[in-house]
Amino acid sequence: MLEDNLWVRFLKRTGVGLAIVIAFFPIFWLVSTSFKPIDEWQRFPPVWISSEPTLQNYRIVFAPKAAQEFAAKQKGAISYKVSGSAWKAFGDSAVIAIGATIFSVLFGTLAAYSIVRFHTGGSSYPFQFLVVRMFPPIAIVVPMVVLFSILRLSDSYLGLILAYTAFTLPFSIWMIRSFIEEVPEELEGAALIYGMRPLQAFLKVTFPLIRGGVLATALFVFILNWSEFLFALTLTSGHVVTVTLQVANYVSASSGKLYGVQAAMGTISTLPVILFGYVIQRHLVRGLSFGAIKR
Amino acid sequence: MTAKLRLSGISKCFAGRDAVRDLSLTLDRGEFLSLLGPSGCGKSTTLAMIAGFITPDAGDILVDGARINDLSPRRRRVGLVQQDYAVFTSLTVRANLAFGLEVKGLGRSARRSAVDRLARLFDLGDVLDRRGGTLNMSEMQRVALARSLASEPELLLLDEPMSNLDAESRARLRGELRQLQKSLAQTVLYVTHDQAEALSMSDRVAVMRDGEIVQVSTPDDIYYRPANRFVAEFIGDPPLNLIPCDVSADAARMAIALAGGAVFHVSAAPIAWGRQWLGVRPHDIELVGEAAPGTVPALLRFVENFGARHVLHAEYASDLIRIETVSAARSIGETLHLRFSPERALLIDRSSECVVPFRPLEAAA
Repeated sequence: MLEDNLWVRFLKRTGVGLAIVIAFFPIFWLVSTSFKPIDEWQRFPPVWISSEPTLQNYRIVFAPKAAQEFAAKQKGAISYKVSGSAWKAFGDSAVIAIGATIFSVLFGTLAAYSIVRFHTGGSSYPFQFLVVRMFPPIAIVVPMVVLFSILRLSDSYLGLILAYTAFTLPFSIWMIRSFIEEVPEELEGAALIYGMRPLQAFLKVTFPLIRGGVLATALFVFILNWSEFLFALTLTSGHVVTVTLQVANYVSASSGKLYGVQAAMGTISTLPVILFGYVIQRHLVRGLSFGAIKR
Repeated sequence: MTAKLRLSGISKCFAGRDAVRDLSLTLDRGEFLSLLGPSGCGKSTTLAMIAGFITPDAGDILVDGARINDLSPRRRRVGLVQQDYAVFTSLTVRANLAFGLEVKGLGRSARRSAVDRLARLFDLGDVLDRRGGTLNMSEMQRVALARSLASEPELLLLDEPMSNLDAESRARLRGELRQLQKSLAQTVLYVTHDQAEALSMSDRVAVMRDGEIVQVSTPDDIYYRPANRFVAEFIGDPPLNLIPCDVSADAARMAIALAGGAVFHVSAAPIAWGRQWLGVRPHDIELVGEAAPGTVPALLRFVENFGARHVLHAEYASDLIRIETVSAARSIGETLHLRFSPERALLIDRSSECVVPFRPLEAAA
């Protein structure tokens, strides 16, 4: 172990600090904007933290009618038209993102297990999965729109769930594959010898050891699904509205985009992800460090 | 109830390469047989076929005469200890030992008494309530062994079970395992690449190479009467010396001439005249004080000191040979006088690499 001198330590701290600032600045700006009154949204020089923070943006998100009545009593209130409901958007996104995450992780686990233990599809099979991810998504979207309209899947929950599952499955397979590879095959061998069926051995011996990894994969896939915009935009037409689509709905006839309201919606929409991450945090650490397995 | 195992012409091919080729082998009830060979020789594949993890492409696996090729592992009554031990790290030792019994649906009290009996046998009483992940290698090994015997297997398969242990535990366990196996009259198939384990514990040893069994015999036979050059060189520590010799013959006897003037006369043996090999174990070479008829000179190059014995590396016939001897003060560069005795030497055919039997007539010059 080499000891760093003062200069190296200074550089390291500065580097880490810079990385944190760069990574967190957009989040800071999002949250900050969500509390700004309308005249501060695009002001130059920028308003970092509003001197008159307001909850009006959040009111518009959750209770557009009440917000309008409230605004009528204030001077300089904006006129806006809100289509769709944030509540419905959260509901739709929850159904679609959770459904697609369950499918993706379920199929991903089964496929990864088969690839690792039975060498299904040969050695290049896992790479073939990634091919889908090498196209720019927009190239896939056009034929998907046509296909979905033929199959009558457009603008439906099932349609988006299937599209998201297909899109995230390669990630699921790749991530879970690496977790399964960490589990010694001998453990399953022992379980088989001492009386278990193959599926039982997988569920009772292997799965508990990769549970943390599977949950980490689920979180990752959930974030992808929750924040997806392109498929949601092209494969729906008003009946199904996800959170990302709802953000784009906050526009005003007179003032253009309602940045503050969009920021409020954006801030709220990160909460489920943070919550999910917090709930499985204990598993994340165990899953990613693999402390449970001693070789 | 311990059983008899017969492998009849089993083969397994992976990606166009024969891992095991037409292998036949019989283990008697209560026999301890080792499959010994270098890594990649197919011994673990053979074991995996008996355990049921892989299916042979051809041939039959018979336990007490019944074909078990198509049985799933859980229906085969085998116990298995693997190199990694595969102790369930999140379960307690008690749960590990009871694992097979629980899956088989044995009652609570029956499980408890079986676990207690095994814990006594393997001295695991103190760690019964600890989790598998907290054990050291030697404890894991005992847990794995105890677990494998819990369900009273017909056949116990051990796959390099000692390779993760330190030398001291290994030496102790060799004796203990053999005693236990005898007291239970348990049929054991032991896979190893360590000749000391195979020779010291087994009733018989099967030496494997490239997916085939080269020789199956008692440890004495394997050591003193190897079938060919591979077995002769693979067994023995320090390894056998292969010394070039010239074979010639007259009417009723043959002569084996070594560089430096030593000649043995032996009975006629089925070997061609000309350059062949004489295999001599390092401990079968005698050191004599001074040059005498029948001795050959060799130049001492270096000495390996093992305490009570030394292994001398000496230059003889432009090659280094090993001589194992009691320790004594020697200086590098001195000339040694070696006497080879034909009684225990092996005559090896250079073209077929087979060991050719012969009978020494006299050890004259």
